[in-house]
Amino acid sequence: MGASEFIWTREGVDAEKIKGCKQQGEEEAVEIGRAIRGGDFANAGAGASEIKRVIKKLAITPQIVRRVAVSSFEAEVNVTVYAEEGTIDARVTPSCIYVVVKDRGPGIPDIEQAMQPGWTTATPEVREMGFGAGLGLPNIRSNVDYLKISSEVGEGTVLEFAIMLE
Amino acid sequence: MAVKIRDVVNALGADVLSGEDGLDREIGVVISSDLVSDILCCRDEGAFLITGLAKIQILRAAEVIDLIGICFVRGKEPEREIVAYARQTGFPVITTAKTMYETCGRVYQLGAKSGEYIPPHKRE
Repeated sequence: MGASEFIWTREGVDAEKIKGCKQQGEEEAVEIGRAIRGGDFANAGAGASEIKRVIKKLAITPQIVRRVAVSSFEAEVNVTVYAEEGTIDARVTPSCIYVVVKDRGPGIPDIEQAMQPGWTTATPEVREMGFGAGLGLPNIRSNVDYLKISSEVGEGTVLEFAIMLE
Repeated sequence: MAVKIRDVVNALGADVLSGEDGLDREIGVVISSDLVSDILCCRDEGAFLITGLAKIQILRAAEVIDLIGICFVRGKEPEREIVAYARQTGFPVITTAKTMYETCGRVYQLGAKSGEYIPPHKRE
């Protein structure tokens, strides 16, 4: 029980650059934010769609746009499936895209376990909608350059990821 | 010659629910799944999806990875909002009473290529 944290950085990615990407700096940034309601499956992924729409207009390769969109979508679906409410915020600078997905919810007791492909606690109703295959977090990790998950059981989870543009 | 969505409609005798103007889109690859996360693993360009999951979530996933069209199988009646949304965006959605197996078989016979599936943990 209590708080736990999981941090992963893709091999060859400079941790200093990620720090710079996260902090409010001098760099000009585009910011996109949206609320997520738990259980609102009709709108699950709407935030990811919005982020995608915005970054598509910037000079970003289609491959990166897709990686951002898929990771944002999976993270947003997790909030819809498991939490009561949350937010998704993306910050786009010339060097990277940083996304923070926060929720008020049950938290993740064992993040390492939740990272295992196929591990899920989704209900049959959720699975019937095509979700809950236990691939969300692994799918996020495979698309991002940096992933941090902080969770407190009974309180909620903060999932952050970065995708480098350079 | 590239397979078009129109060729799939003809081969299946499928009903076109939306996106009539997009039926001449060329199919890059075909993917087939009822799991949203599996669909999101697709990184091929111009993917066409065959699925039995007629839910709005599928359309959102489609948007995320730029699918060019969707075929619902087993006569699944898509939710009304799916059709409304697809019509609004001109996105091709077709539906067939045929099974997943027969649908995939017939589309394969047309010569459409399969999408590549690499599970997330094998990519890093």
